[in-house]
Amino acid sequence: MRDNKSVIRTSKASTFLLKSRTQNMIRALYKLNMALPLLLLCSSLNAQPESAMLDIFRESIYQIVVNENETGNKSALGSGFQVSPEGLIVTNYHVVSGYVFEPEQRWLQYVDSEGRSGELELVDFDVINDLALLRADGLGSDYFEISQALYRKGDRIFAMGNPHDYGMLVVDGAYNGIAENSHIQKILFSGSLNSGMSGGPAVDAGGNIVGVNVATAGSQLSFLVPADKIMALLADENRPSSTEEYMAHAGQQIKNFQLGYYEGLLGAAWPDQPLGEHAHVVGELASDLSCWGSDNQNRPNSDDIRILELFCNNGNHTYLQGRFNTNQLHYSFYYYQTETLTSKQFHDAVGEQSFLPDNQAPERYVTNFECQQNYVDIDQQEDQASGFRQAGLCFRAYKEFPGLYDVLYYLFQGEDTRALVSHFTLSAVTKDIALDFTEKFMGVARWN
Amino acid sequence: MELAVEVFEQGHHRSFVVRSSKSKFRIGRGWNNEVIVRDPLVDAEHLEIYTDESGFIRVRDLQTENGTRIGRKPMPQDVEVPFGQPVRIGHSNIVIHQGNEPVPAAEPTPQFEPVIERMQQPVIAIGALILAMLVALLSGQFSPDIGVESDGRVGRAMFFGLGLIFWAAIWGVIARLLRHEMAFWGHLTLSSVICSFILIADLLIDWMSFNLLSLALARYGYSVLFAVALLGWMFIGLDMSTRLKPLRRAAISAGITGMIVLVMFVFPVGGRNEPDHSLPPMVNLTQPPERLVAADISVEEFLERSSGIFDRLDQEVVESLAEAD
Repeated sequence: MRDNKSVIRTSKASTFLLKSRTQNMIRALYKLNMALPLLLLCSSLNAQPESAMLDIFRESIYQIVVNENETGNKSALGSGFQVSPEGLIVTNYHVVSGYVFEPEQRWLQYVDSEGRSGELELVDFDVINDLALLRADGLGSDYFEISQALYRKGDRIFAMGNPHDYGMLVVDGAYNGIAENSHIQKILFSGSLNSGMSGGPAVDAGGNIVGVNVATAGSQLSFLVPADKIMALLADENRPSSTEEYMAHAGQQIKNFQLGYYEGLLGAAWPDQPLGEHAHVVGELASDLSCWGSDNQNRPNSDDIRILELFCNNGNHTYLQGRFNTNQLHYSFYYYQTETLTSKQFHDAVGEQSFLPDNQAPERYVTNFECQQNYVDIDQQEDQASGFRQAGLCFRAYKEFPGLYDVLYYLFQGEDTRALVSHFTLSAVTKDIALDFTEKFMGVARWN
Repeated sequence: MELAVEVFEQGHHRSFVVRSSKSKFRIGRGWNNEVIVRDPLVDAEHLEIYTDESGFIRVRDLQTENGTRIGRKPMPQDVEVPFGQPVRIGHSNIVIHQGNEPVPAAEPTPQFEPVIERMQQPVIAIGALILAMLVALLSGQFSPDIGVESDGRVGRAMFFGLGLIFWAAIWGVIARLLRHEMAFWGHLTLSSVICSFILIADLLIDWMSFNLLSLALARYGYSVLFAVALLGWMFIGLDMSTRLKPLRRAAISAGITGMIVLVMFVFPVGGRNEPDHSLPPMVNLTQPPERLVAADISVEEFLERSSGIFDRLDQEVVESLAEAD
């Protein structure tokens, strides 16, 4: 669905793009020409004539098409590139996700620069790092080398793709290191990728693979999957042997990733920080989490209730298919206080809050939430007769990934004119992680 | 001597005149009377009018449940009545004229119970409505949500006023059907006043931090208002059954009111329900009143109970997969 939309958008703007793309291409190739003599001087390895390298680029980059069996229409489009003489092609998982989820209803196809096409076979995929490995027979023997080199910030790299029938598209930009806001490693690339370039290669001046085009992060900023993830995928020994194993394979990858991530998170000591006069809440848990705060006191028309807010989430975001994504972690705190309202008015106002899970999951992939709601004695204090501490813990299960659940938690505690609402959502965690995280969270965030 | 009996039938708010030259005739709800009054509070045979030996007009109450009144006083069983003096039976009035005189009233001039008569005046009804809306506005019963500006409150008070008018209109129609003397304006006054009282009481209770009514309001919404309003009606307005003694009548109306209140509490309108175990992905915070019925549990027990959800979910997944196959 999303891919269809972007296809429509690009074709509408195609007349405009045609010009700028050609210009871009000429400019990029010109810059490439400038860079190559320098490179030829510096490195004796990989020294290839300039025209031959461009030929390799052109001939080893493919358009990856996902077709519907029934209608014969394209349902997704992306780029891919050859990484071995045997016809192994790397692309993004999200390009072929429609096929992974419904292999019996779709088929994969490549189109090369000359317009030749053929059927592709899905060999392996990595949902966490957004990579897929495909194979086709009868491809040329040219392929990209995967770079083992270390790059420095500012090193020039070129992202390529073959989104439509305009030939190869080149975007130049700089390597900007590994993005720090996520536990999932991604290279920051200061160049703007185009939607159809997903799955295309990003190479250094020597033509070696630095990473795989994966996503944009705003204007002139994009993400690449690091080259070592391709190496790991090529070396993977647990390849799914049939289409029936795709879901189990994806589920196992998510589970392994989450176990590793939460082991670190639950093992660490959690920082607590004050919020308002009477609450202690969880601060930034790890370096990949970012927190924001707000205070409504400065806004107009907000004099009845003061709201202090702390909002944290991590950058983990795993796209699975369509409107189905997972792996997010988010927690937030709201401290309410009033000087003017009566207790009843105050509770009426703050009690109308509602919470949603962070990740989207259609009904066919998850169950409904089931909740446990109770008055919970957080501090084991007898003297808080006027206060109240209502907690709710909700889970929903993944139908395709047994043993993984989404978690939604809230705790509402307070007195006559003050209240604290604590809330978190976890996506795709095991039972143990869900309960351990909740217990630890309830221990740190408190009212006093 | 011919007599003309003018009847003000209050349920219909109209008058008619019956002329008779008999020396003795009966007034009542039944068909065999000379003068038939369609008023549920009038007995089948209610009143007898006759001329005594000396030629005076006398009225005899036929031992009725609701009695007969002259002016505001209950009438003794048998009394002499001057011409032109209204005699009240049920919610209706009769006036006896001399048969050869022209009857003065072409238009009905209803003579209600003094309180009801005052409540029926449109000016008073509108005044009461405005009062109720002001109280609603000021009491903050339509409470300031986070982000709701003062315009929203005014709008809600207006909506509340419309609700009262609608409510009064319904009762106006019912009163018409039951031939009760209290019509639309009277009910508008009554509902406005009752709601004002409830809102003020709620506010006082709220200020005193004793939340029994506010608890009920928070939990059952405006069904509480309507339940209390209904209770008021049962005692003030609809004293329908004329065959029962006042005490029994009160007991029965209290019983009916109780049933209605019960139904309203079982199916609350606009109130909040118990937490639902199969919630959609949106979780609403319930109100503090739940505390009264639920005891606190420890964190360990909370987690223990929560972990029971996993088994149910796993079962659901197994079932949905089996269904898909």
